[in-house]
Amino acid sequence: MNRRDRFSDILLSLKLAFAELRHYRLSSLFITLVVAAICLPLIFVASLKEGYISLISDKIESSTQALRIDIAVRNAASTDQFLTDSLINEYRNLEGVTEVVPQKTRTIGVLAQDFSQQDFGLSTTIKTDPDLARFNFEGTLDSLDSGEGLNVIMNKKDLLEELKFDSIPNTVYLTLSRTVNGRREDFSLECNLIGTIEGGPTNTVFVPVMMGKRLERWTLGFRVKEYGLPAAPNNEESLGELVADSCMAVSRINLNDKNALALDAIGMKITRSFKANRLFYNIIQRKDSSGNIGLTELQTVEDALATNFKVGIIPFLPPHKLDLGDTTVTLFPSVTADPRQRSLLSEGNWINHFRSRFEILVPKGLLPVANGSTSMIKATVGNDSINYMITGMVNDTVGYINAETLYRLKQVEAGIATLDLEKGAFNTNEKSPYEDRFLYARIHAVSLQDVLPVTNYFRDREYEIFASSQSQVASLEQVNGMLTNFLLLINLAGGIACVASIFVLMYEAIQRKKNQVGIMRAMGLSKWFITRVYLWQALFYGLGGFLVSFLFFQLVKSLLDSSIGHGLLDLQGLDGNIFSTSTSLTVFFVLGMIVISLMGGWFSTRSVRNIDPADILSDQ
Amino acid sequence: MSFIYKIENLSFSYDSKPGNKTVSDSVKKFELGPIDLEIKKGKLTSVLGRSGSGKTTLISILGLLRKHETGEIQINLEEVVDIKNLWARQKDIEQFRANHLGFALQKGELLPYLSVYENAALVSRFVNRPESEIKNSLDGLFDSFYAREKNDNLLEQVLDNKPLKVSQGQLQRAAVVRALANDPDIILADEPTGNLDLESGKEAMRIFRKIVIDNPKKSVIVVTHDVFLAAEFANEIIVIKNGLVKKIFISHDEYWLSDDERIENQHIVERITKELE
Repeated sequence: MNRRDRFSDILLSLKLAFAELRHYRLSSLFITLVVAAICLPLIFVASLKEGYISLISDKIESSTQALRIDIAVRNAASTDQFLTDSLINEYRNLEGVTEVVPQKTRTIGVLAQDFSQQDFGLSTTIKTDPDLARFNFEGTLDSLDSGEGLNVIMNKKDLLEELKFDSIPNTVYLTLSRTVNGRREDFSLECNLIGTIEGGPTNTVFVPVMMGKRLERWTLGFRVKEYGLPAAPNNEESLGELVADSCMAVSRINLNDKNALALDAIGMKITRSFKANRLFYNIIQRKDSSGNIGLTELQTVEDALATNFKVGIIPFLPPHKLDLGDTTVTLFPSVTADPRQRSLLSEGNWINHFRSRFEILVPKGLLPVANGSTSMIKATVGNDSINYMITGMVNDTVGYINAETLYRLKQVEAGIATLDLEKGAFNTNEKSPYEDRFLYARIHAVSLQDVLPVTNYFRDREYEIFASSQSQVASLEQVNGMLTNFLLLINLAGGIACVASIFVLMYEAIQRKKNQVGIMRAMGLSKWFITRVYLWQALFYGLGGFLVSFLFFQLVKSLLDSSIGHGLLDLQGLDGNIFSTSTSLTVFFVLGMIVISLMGGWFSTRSVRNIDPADILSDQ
Repeated sequence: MSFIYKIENLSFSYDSKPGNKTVSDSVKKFELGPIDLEIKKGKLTSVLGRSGSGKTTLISILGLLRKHETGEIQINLEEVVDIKNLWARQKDIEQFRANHLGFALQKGELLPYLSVYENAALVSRFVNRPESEIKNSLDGLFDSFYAREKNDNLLEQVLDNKPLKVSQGQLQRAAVVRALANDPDIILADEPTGNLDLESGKEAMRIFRKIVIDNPKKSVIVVTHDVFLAAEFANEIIVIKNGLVKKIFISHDEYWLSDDERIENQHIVERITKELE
């Protein structure tokens, strides 16, 4: 049989099928309605599930964080601490990522006082965001009692110069969040500046924040309407300014001659033998009135490990004055550093628990200088042995270099910067185009479904995800998965019921038409041709039933969506339609019905194939 | 004269087909044969017998509706075909039935959901004959078999009607037209007059006679229990009794020459009736 004949064959069977359907219209209508009755609840349940998931998705998507993922590398002092173009391109080419925006950081001084003039410890790194007309400040302030409110005092110079504000904004929007018993509470406040103090050493800006509740541990976020991008750094950077603020105790650089010279230039006594055999940790709560760090507890590392705290290690050192000739530089221990502030500490030497800082400090007296060639601190925490490479000593104490100094030292090592010993400064021969792009980035995902894979990718690469909708997306996916499984079970049951109904009703109908089938077979019409006639009919029942139920569903849907549905949703604080039918769901149903009807039809036409054409003869 | 069917040592029993669920217990032990028989080509042959004698079983085997167990059956068309070879493939059987056989049945209702015309055209369409050819062929047949309706200008209406809306006689003729529509070589009719009154029965037999007169290459085999009709119209009468061929009667050739001057063959009727007792 050629293709044309096959086509006419199919057409003829289709024609016969519909002629028969039309002739037995009541019976056809009955079977169609039975199928529709089974289909209808399935469509309702499926569209209700789609609607629910779609509403929750919409709700997540309406939040600004929905498709944004803020990342920062955990160990920023690793070999590549800047976000280079190749890395950005690599991240941008990830599936599900539309944009990667490198973030910049600048540091300004912020001081918070409660109304009784009590100062808070507050960290001060601000992450600016080039793609948004705002900047965020995030810090932690601890107050035992600040029921009335607090003043946030910012250094005007920092605002104007570091953040390149044209003027001090009159209104600052503050976003505060606090964690109480593990639950996060957010507040948004619009605060007017109450004034600035011009001149003098402080040049401060006062922002009063009225607090209605007792202030415990708060995270502050600032938002101003506009800001300018920070200017590129100068080629020449002062050593003194670099080391004064936040610094590192240990780092991994090679103690070659160049580095030794550089370290020597900043007052570090180079030593390659250093050993610690015992470590203590200290919980630091707040500065006292004189600005010193209060030591409230002293325990061993082993004791600390017995608690739930995650323990990291940083050698303890008191502030140290470093005489550089004309300039005196104070080297501070990095107690103000905080992993969330990206102080670029190596080896992850931080403990952070509920935004309180816990640091393991090694008392100076317990740091014996070992003989020999080792340049490692070997510390044992629990069963883990941790080695630290010591880069230098200052007056028999471990010295500090900050991240930028470390970076410059590496540049000196690589020959792209030189150290001007007379000026006490690094001269960068070649400015890195990435030097203000630290390993912070804002990733924009294509869709909600992409959020989880993207966050997982960056988590695997040692990035910390500090803002994203991943938890909401994960819970949405979990709910979706559960509902989908539930739906599949219901659909399976419905599908079986549908197959059974089509089978029983068609089988019964075919049995009544045995004579007709016998005649067709006696006339030479093939089994397969006759089977096909009934398969067309089964297909009609399946798709017709689906169509009837779908139309009825649409009618009910329009009624519910217009009044009751929205009323129910309003109660839930959701906006949208309670029922939703996507194209994929409709296609799923159509394909499902085709399979179901063909199965039902095929089983019922077994009787066609078994009919003996000789039965139509008179004696049988 | 050449044969259309040549049967040698044919036998068949229902016991040999345990899977045949359509056979009731009461007929389960029925046996046909052994039969040796030649049925002539271009003639109207009537198979006579009482109920349960095996005449319908014989025609179901000849019509390739049932597969015989033992013996040889040859069909002489343009070349001689061995039925056993056809049964090797179900598709061959179906094609042979569609192309060479035409059935006119007592219970052969037309498909109720197709018009009379569409019923008649169904097999031709199934074997993919061109529509124009089908129309020409059916027009000729309907003109011939529905001459009265044509004269009364009712033919078109009858052809467009569904089977339920036409008379029993028109239905019977439609079944014959359907049997002839695809120009088969052999027409098998199973009790075509069973549901008809005497006059309509004669009309039906006259039609079968007309077929072989008009088309000498076609053969018609009519199963009936009506001795008088068989004696009046058949060329050859095969009497079946208890599954065996009892006797074969051959009419005179003159008998077929004139439609109006038929001789009532009382002599043959008496002999057949005697054989059937």
